[in-house]
Amino acid sequence: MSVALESVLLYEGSVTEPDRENRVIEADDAELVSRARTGDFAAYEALVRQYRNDVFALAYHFVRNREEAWDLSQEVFIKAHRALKRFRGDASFKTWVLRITANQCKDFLKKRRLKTVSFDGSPQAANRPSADLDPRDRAEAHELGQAIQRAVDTLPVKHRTAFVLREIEGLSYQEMAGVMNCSVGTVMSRLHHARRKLRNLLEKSGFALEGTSASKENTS
Amino acid sequence: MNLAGLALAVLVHASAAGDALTTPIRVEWFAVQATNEGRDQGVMEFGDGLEAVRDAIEKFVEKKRLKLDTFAQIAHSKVRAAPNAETELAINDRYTTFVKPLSRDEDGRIRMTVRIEEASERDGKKTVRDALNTTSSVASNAPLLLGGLKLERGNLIGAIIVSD
Amino acid sequence: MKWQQRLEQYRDGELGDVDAREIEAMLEDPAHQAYDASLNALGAAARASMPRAGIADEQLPAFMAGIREGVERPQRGYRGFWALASLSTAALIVALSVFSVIMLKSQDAVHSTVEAAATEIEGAEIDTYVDDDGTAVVWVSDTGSDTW
Repeated sequence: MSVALESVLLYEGSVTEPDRENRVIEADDAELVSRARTGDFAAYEALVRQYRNDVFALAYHFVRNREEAWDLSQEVFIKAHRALKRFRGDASFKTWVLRITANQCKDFLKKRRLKTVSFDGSPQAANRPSADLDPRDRAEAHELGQAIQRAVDTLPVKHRTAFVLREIEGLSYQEMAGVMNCSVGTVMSRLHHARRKLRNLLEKSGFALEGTSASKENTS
Repeated sequence: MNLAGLALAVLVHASAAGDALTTPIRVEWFAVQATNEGRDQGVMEFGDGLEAVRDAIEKFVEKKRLKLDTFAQIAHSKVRAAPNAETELAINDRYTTFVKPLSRDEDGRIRMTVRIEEASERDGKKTVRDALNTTSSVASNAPLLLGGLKLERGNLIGAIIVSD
Repeated sequence: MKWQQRLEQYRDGELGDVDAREIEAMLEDPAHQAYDASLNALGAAARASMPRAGIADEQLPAFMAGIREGVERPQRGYRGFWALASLSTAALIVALSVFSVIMLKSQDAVHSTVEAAATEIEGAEIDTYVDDDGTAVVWVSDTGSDTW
């Protein structure tokens, strides 16, 4: 039975759409960075306001806990403030701060020895299918959501980062290379491996990826 | 400040003798190669395995504005160091570290000597010298960092974490 | 694997118009079509299952307060003293004494301290430092080094 993905209600809590447009704000950011460096905290606040969701979303994808993502995000911005003097502006501020985020998450996961992050069950993280679906479709949508999250969690950190940055955060390959501190070729390779592994895992869980949706295969 | 030609006679401040150690102390040792890769991003890059000491190194490098931005682990060991005896902690062919726990003070810090020995060959003759020799009291919540020694590429930073 | 990555690049919007024509020809092959469709499905399923969390505007003041606190946390400098020495001849050992900086000890953290430090490296200098988290540092610097 296929699940109409657009009917799956996403979880509660703050949800924002990734900004997929190429906004030409680098000139504004450069000015804010320059002012922040001189001690203008209001300028730094403006940068935090601009990018807090990018940072938080990436952190949340790794730790799947709102409180921990919150703490990690704050640490990222504190570290970024300390490192402002060394930021030369060769990449965008967004790319730079996401790189700090990725490093921070990597360290956090290793410290906590979180190789797989279990679904924490907090209300904000619960995947609650739409009430419009009938119970069977709701159950299947929930199962799919869980399967995908489990599958993503089993990916090595580098592959998981690549997949999340591309599919969820909508970064370009160039931006991803900046965040992950690797070449565009390496970005493509990691993405490819992530997608291949996820397809295999989902198929093993009984979900077929075909057409424009994923559906549980009828094994009966 | 460079006081060329002078050997300073300084007071040696002897800390309290503290309690004698009767059991080995757990010592975790990290040897890190620190280099300057001219990273455009201005963010320090730490290789795998350095999570426990990353914050301490980063903070020191930032504070002293050292021109170092890339850190890679070259050696790591966890040992039980017996009191009043030197335990060897490998680094590479050139440097070797020796730790000797001495006592524990009233705050629980482990007083120990740490020696980084350097082996070299000059004119066909092998020589060994103490590149660094320190007596320090190391708290369990904060590492002792030893650094600055030259490697073939970059500088060596050693980090010692102690626990019971 | 190469054609698969090509299709991925296309789906990710990383190819120009010229390459797009090549892709359209590639997609006439049913196997390539199936792969392309599976890429779409995987991405759509992931976005539906892993929505983007964020920090609402009303939560921003609290978020900023934590950042401000972290940024403004005083970086208390050490209140010991530096003693530097340089060696004029080989095998001279410079003994350095640093008085403990226990007065910096926070209520939570015990500070490591450096009692003495020396080097047999000719021309080298020794610095010691203790930060407000209690980390003690002994640093040997060659006067010719460009680390500083």
